[in-house]
Amino acid sequence: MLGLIKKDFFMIKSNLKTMIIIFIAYFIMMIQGNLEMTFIIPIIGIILFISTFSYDDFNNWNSYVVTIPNGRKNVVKAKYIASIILIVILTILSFVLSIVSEYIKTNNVNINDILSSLIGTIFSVVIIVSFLYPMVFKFGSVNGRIILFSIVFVMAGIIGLISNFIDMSSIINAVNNLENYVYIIISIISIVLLVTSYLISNKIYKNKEF
Amino acid sequence: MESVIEIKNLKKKYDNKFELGEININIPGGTIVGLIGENGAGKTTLIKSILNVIKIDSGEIKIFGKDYKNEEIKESIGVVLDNTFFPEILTAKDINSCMKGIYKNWDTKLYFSYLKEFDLPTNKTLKSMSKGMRKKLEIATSLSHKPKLLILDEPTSGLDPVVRSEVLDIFLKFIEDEEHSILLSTHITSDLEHIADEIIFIDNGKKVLQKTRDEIIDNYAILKCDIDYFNKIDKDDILRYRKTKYMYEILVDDKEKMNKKYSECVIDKITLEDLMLLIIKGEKVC
Repeated sequence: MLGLIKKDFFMIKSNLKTMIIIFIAYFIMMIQGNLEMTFIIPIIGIILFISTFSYDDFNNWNSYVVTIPNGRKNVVKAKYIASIILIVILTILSFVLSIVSEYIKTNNVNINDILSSLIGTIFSVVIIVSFLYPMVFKFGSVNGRIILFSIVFVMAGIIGLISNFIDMSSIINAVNNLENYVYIIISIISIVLLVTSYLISNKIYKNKEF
Repeated sequence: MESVIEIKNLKKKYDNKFELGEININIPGGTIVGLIGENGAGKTTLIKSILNVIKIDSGEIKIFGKDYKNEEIKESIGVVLDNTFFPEILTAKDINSCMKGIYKNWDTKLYFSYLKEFDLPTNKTLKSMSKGMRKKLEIATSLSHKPKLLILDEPTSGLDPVVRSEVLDIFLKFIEDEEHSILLSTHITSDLEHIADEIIFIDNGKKVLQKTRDEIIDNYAILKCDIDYFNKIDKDDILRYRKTKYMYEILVDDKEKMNKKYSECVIDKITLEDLMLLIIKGEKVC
């Protein structure tokens, strides 16, 4: 399986230069402006990682990889593990960059602010991964993304409709009242999402034909 | 010799009506078995079924005596598929480090020696390589984890004659070890005449013929004659016939008997290509 994780990292390696340039650009923008944008880094990273699915599809990688020992199982596992590794690395990177930029800007670093915003970022990346990967495994990288975006739009529409009848601020207030528990709850939700998503992807890939 | 691959009553149906039906095949160990047939005859479907790339509808497949879904046996199978399959942004060197983490028996030294032999660059992305080069890389990869069985779908397509004969030599060298076997499909039937021990002919999703190469070459023949003579030929002797511009070509078996019976005709040696053409395109006498 290690080989499959390596393969995904080799594949994003070719985009490394672009990535570094984008990171530097964001970093400069962050120091100059008031924008808090380092947290965009994990999101860009995961979007980049998703491109590995497109290459896999486009180059018929899947039809080969299911013929290697434990191929069907390990492909799915490797994608999730590689994504988690990438998220962790990029989160640490953006954490450091945030501290540095804050320090340059104000000489005063508020770790709590940075942490909470970072946790929000991780949570959104986890949501992207958890919902997107099973879709991509099921429908391929192109269709999977289209279907996911359609679902997001429909859901946004439904929430918009509901908010006409229910006061959304009460929900937001309820979340705010959770205070310290909110991190624990987010962590639990994230883990449950990832594990469920992994199990679903595994089941999809187990029976897939290429 | 024991069977390396044993297929019983394999069935696979696609939505678009193509059907691989009731295939029974035994592939003996220590041999090179060639799979021939038209485009769309079911060669790739058969190979993908054996490799569990696609799900079969019914039937039984055993490799090395074990169920084909067993993961252990995959360590000992080298695979080349009809389409190129490595992500194009990787390099040959990247593939080496990946494969080290995939196959227990991966031999880095052997891999790089194949790359050298095939004249392949190690640091260039696959995108910049030609189709033939990528095929060579895939063949090198399939050999470098020391498999006992090679399953190759069109391994020589896209290769020039020089490289093709190089690759065929490598296959012959591979088969020198008595435990090794190869199943390869190809539409370049002349390749098989050089190396295959046994030929399996698939047409329209069905196995039409499985015979050793020598059986085919010794038994079958093409009888050539004009129309007058054609009418005199015993209808039972005509397996298939084809009318060309000036004469009839008739597929016959039992070459020696035919030689005696129709001594005034030309009876030519058969090539696999002729056999394929006559079986697919030839007509039967009703």
